[in-house]
Amino acid sequence: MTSEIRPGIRRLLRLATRRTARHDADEEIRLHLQLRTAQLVREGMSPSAARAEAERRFGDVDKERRRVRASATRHTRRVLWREWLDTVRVDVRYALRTLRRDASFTAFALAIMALGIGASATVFSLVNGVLLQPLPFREASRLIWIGNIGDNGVDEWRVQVAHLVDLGARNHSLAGVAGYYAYYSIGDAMLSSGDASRRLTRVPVTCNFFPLLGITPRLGRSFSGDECRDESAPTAMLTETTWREQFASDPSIVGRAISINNRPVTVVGVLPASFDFATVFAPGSNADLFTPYALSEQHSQSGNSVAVIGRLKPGVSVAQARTDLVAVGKQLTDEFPRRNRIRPRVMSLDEHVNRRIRPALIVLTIAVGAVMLIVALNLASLQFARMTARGREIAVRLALGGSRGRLIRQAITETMVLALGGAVLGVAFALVATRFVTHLRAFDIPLLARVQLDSRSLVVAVGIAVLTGVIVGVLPAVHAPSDPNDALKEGSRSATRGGRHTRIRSSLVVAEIAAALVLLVAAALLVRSFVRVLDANLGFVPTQLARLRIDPPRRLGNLPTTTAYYDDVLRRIRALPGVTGASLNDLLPFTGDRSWGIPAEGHTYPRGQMPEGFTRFVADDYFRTMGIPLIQGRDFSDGDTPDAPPVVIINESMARKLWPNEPALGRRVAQGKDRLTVIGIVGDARHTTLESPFTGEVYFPMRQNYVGGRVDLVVRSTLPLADVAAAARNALGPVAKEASLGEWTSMQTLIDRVASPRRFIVTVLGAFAIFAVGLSALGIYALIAYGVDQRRREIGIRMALGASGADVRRSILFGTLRLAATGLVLGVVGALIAVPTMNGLLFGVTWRDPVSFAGAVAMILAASAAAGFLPANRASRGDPSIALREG
Amino acid sequence: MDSPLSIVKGTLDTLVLKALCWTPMHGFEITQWVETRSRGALDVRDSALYQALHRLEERGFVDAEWGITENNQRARYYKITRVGRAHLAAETTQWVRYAKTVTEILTATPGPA
Repeated sequence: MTSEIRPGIRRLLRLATRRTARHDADEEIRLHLQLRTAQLVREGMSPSAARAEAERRFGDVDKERRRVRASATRHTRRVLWREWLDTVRVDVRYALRTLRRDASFTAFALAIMALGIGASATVFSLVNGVLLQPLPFREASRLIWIGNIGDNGVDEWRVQVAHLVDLGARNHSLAGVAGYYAYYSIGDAMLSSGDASRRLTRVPVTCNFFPLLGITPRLGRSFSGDECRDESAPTAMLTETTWREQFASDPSIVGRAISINNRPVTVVGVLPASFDFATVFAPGSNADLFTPYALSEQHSQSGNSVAVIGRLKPGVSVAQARTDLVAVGKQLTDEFPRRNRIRPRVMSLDEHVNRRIRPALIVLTIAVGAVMLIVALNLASLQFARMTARGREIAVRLALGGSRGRLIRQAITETMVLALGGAVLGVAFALVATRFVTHLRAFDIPLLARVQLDSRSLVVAVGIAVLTGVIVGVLPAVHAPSDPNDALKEGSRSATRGGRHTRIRSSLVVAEIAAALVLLVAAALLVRSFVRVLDANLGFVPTQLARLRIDPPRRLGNLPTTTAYYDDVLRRIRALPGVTGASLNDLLPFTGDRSWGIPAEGHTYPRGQMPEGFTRFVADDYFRTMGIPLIQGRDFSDGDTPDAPPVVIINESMARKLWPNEPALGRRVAQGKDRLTVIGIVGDARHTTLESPFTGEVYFPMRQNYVGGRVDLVVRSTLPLADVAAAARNALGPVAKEASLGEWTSMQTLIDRVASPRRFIVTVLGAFAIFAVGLSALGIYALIAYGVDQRRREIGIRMALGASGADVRRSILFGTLRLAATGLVLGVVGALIAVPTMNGLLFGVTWRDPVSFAGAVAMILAASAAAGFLPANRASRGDPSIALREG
Repeated sequence: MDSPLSIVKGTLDTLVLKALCWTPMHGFEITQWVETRSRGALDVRDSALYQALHRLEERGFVDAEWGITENNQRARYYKITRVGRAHLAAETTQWVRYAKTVTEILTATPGPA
């Protein structure tokens, strides 16, 4: 086969044939005809007859010529392609050989490529899945969220039912509005079938909720208008998961009655698997079934209770809808003085879902870009070092007639092999990382579940790697000395070329340090914010505090039985060893919010000025158990019976709101027709997030107020959580049979969950920053070590002339730090430009935080010094005579 | 003389390889070789030969190089490759078996199977 011909000769042949592929075909036919004619003439034909006969025998000459030509061209092209592949194969084999020779370089390069590509593909996938893709609804860009600006100016997200109805009727910009009942509680629907029962979470939605989102049921239908009245027979729609897990995907479920809280409920439809309420509307908590929510006057009286979404009419912008709805809101507020005020806050649904996480993801994207940059710079720097080390080989090859183009191609091949190898590893890494990230249940990130490693992200990441490979590969080859003689003559003592290479490598390292500093400053700011957040005074002591959710037995229908039941529960728990406190709360911090207007007795407030507070119903000893300080007055006690005067405990913020600059203890607040005496003032506690400021809180005694729903049992104990749980399970044995008990969790997990988005980004960015610093240190080390190696002779001479080892060490370290300082100056400038974008993520520090900057600078200086110290130390220990002899 | 036989599909390639077995030839020489060997019994269209040559070249059974004829004319010489020889051997065995079997059947005295 062709392999018998030497490649060089084959190339020469090819040069001849390439240009003439078509011409060749013509010539071949011409010769054929000519020879045939000659033969026929020899056999006795006249020349003209012979020519005609030759052409006849050949067939349709023109057609055949075209065919032969085409086949010849095709053939040539194939040969060229094969030869190109051959050279690539040769280059790849060569590259593999060189890379194998430099095994440690290869392993390192592959590792950083893999990390770089893996990290960027993961982050891009995350950004793509969460931010870039539309929400999983029909024409999702037309969906809007209609919040409500509360009386205190703080963003509220719920609206009164009557306002929802009127907003829908009076607006001019929306095709429809829908909503869901925002106070649905987790696990409040007891599904029973036979003896077994299971707690499901039921979300009441308005009739048009699913049609408005554009969700078509997988089975059955959405709720009809008739089903959305208070008096209509109960109906429900199941999620696909509930249908599959609870009803074994029974295809005849529609129309059947299931038992929810011991009442028959007719299933009208099953939602498609693609619909996931929790990821969009309430990150983290699942919904299992949906029931119709009546837009009735009765429901309207329960205050701001519905979360509202809308669908824009075609061609209407969010801004137009905002203007329209704000106007309608004002009109409604003026027209209905007895209702709550409504000040619509309109944004796209996408923005509502993602606004918390968006800044974090943008910062992550920038960070991953910086990491990729550092990886590229590092590779370039290392490649330069290798090229310099291979300067002689390159010079020899150039001298022997190797072409520069070929050299460049080989360099590119080498880096491409590296880049692709890194890409393969990176893809594997990204697969694992994406899987890991999306399965992080602890992180409270919307839409996380739908994030998957997508091919576009991979293509982008691999593209970056390959591009890096090409650039990094071309540079050193282009920079090879133009006159091979120089390189050969100079040998290892090359001055000019070595100098130029060192300069280029120095700038690469400087750029690396700069990028690393930016990352480090960002990470430092976030870490400091995180620490501040965790340090934020919670107002209670979360350590050694366990919680258990109790769903009370159904038979308890009134205050006396409930009080007796809970007294029994608390008595059993308090008797356990190690338990120092136990109490109940119907709404623990970080599990939800509920705020009411609480007027001081005898005060009339202008509309919208009513003091508001988060309300909680608690049992005795709650404050001591939680570690909330009782500042004045007394705690609730068993004397606060329904017959005793009604009492309430407020926190300091509430006291200031109600009676500014006046003592609050002993004063009374109004609650309906009741007047409640303030018997105690307690410290402020956090409510919704760790970052939000303290606000008013009002505690009501469970002894005087009937709480029919679930409550949280909180237990403070000196024993570990598991022991408490085990002991409590025994102690509550008889009681637990009737009630439904949740899992024991520590109070700390609640806090961790609230802090999770922050922890997530701190972890990732911190890892990036450490990676970056490590790479930069390595870049510095490689550069300095190389420099020391090059200057061995010079160092030897200086030491022979009396310089001490310390002098040498000092001079090398000084050079290192000068390099680092240049990078740091650039980095600080870069950070000053980049860091303000993350202002939204900071808490308790400003982006100019000197501690973060100083810390980052110090860390890089330390890393640089360490990286420079090793080669400096080696140089100063060397024996000058050896260095001189070898030089 | 009987009218020329039109060539069975695929056999032309094998014949060309056979022709090149001895020595590299250019297109016309191959034509002549086939004509001589078949004593004119096979009707090979000249253009079909060239297509066969390109086909064989693409499959790596022959190699082509420009050379000079005895009469000092530039001509494209085709040379059989190692793979080509192997292919020829295989095809030949196949063909002989096939021809023998078919011949036996066709020439046998009719009788019960």
